[in-house]
Amino acid sequence: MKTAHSLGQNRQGGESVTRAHIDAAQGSARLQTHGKNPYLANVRLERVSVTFTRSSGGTVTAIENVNLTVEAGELLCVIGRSGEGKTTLLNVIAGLVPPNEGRVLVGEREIHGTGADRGVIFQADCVYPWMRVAENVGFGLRVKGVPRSQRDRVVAEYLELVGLSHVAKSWPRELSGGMRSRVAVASVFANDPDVLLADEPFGALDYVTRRRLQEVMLDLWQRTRKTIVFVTHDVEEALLLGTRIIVVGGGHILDDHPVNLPRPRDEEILASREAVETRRRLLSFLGLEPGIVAAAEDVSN
Amino acid sequence: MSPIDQRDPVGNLSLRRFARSAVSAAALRLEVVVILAGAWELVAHFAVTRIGTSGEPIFPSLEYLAKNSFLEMSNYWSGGWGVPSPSNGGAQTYLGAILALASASLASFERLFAGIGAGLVVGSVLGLVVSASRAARLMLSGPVHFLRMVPFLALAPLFEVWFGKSDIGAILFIGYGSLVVTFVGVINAVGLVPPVQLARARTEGATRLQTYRLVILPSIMPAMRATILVVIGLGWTLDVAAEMLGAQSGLGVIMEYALRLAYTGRVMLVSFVYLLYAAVSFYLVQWLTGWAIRWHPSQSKSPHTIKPRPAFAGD
Repeated sequence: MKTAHSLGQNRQGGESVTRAHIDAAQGSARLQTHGKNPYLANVRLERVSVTFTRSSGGTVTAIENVNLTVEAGELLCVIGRSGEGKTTLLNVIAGLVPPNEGRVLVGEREIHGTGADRGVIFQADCVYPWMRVAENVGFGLRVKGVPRSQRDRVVAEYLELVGLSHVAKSWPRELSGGMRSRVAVASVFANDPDVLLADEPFGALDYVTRRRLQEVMLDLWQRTRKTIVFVTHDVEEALLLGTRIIVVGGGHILDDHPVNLPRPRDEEILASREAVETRRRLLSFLGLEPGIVAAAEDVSN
Repeated sequence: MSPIDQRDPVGNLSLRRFARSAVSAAALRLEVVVILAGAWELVAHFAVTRIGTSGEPIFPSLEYLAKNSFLEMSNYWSGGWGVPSPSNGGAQTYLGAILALASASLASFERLFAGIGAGLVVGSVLGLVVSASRAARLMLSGPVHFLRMVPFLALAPLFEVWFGKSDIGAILFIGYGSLVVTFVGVINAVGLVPPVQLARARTEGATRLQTYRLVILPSIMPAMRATILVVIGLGWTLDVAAEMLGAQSGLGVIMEYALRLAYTGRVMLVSFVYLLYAAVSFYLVQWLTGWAIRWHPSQSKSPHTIKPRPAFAGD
C-alpha cells in the first residue's frame, strides 16, 4: 500500500529528496517528513467561482473568477473581513466545497472532493472527544492503514513537537482550549498532507496562547516546509507567519503582497519600516487606513 | 450546593466534598422515599374502604402487603423444588411466594430482553442505513415517524390477534416498540453529529465506512444513551401490557389475575416488583452506557484541567 510514509519521490522534478538532504540543508536535528519530499505540491486556482443559494431563494457569490497560485513550500496568509470569501476559498482547495466554475489543481492534479493530500485545521474544535489525545493525532494514519508501530512512532514525535507528550493518554475533555488546538495541529501534520489548510485555527484563543501556537505552527512549517494556506482575520498574525499575504474582499483577491521580513519576526522586526508599511497597506485594503481604499475598489471592480 | 460550586480556588473539586455531596444526595433521595411511604401509610390508615369480593382495602398498607399479599403470591406457584402449590393442597408459604415471583420474573425477563435486544439491534441498523442513504431516508423515514405517533399500547390487541397468546407475540410487540424508538433516536442522533467532525474525517482520508465506524457511531453514543434508557422504560411498559393481554406466564399475568378479583394488595405488590426491576435495569444500563461514554464531559468524576508543561504555560 502506498502510504504517506512510503512516498519519497518528487512528482514535479522526479528528484528524490532524502531525509539526510533535508537535514543537511536546514540544519534541523529532526525533520518530520517521513521520507517524503516536502517541496512537493503547489496549489493553483484557475478562474474559480463559487455561488451559494440562499434558503430564501436568492444567490450569493462567495468568490468570483479567482486565479491564484500558491507555490510549494509557501506559507500563504489569507486575510479579509468576515463574509468576504476567505473560508470559501479554503474550502474549495480542501474539496469541501465544489467550485461552480473553474478548477483547482494540487501539484499537476485537478482535485475533485476531499483527500488526505490536503489537511485542514478547522476553525471549530474538531478534536474527537471519544479518542484519547494520541489516538486523535494518529487518526489520519489509522484510516490510511499505517501499521500500529509506525503510527505510534509518528504520533509520539508530533506530540513531543507540540509539547503534549505528557497528555498522550488523556481524554480531550481534560485539556484546555490551547492544548486541544495543539492536538488539531499535530493531527494534521502527522497525517503528512501535501498541502495544509488552516481556517482561523487560533481565532478563539487568548493572546498569549495564540502566540504560543503561532510559534508551534512556524516551528512545524520550518521543519516540514509544507505548503500552507492560512486564513486569518488578524493582520498581525499574517505578518508574523506569512511568506506572502493576500487580501480577499467581495469574493476577489484585492491584494497580493510578498512578505520579505526576516525570521524570527520578533517585536523589533515587526516594528521595522517595511513591516509598518506592509501593515498599513493591508489595513488599507481592509478599509481601516485611508489612501489605498480607492485602489482596492478599482481592483475589485 | 452542587459539586461544581464546591471547587477549590484553582478549579479542582475536593474529593471529600464531592463524596459528602454524593452521600447527601443519596440521603435526600431516601428521605423522599420515606416521606412518600409515610404518606401512603397515612392514607391507608384513614381510607378504610374495601372493595370487591376479596374485601381488600382500596389502599393496602405496607404491613398488609408484607403479611397478606406477599404470602398470597404463593398461590401462583405451580409446585416443584419441594414446595407444593396451594392449588394442590399445599399451604401458603413465603418460600412458595418467592418462587412464584421468581419464576414469573424470569418469564418476564426473557420476553423483555429478547424484545428490547431485537428492537435495539434492528432499530440501530435500520437507523444507520437510512441515515446513510438519501433514498432509504426518503422511503422509510416518513412511515416510521408515522408509526412512532401511533400509541404503542393501542397496537397490543392487534399483536394478540396476529400471534395469539404466545411468547413470540409478546416479544415482537416489545421489539416493535423498541425498534421504532431506537430508529427515530438513531436518525436524530446522526443528524446531530457536528459537521466539522465529519469534515475532518473526510479531509484526513477516511472512507464512508470508516467515518461511520470511527466517527459517527461514537459520536452518537451520548444521544443514544438517552434513547436506550427510554427504550428500557418503554420495554417494561410494553411487557406489562403484553402479559396482561395475552401471555401465559410472567408478572403481568399475576397482575391480570389479581385485578380480575380486585386483589389490590397483590396488584400493588407486583407493581412494586416492576418498579424495583425497572429501577435496577435503569441504573444498570445507565452505569454500562456511562462506561461506554466515559470520554464525555458529563462523565467526569473529578473535573479539573491538566496543566500544560511550564514551557507552554500560555495555555
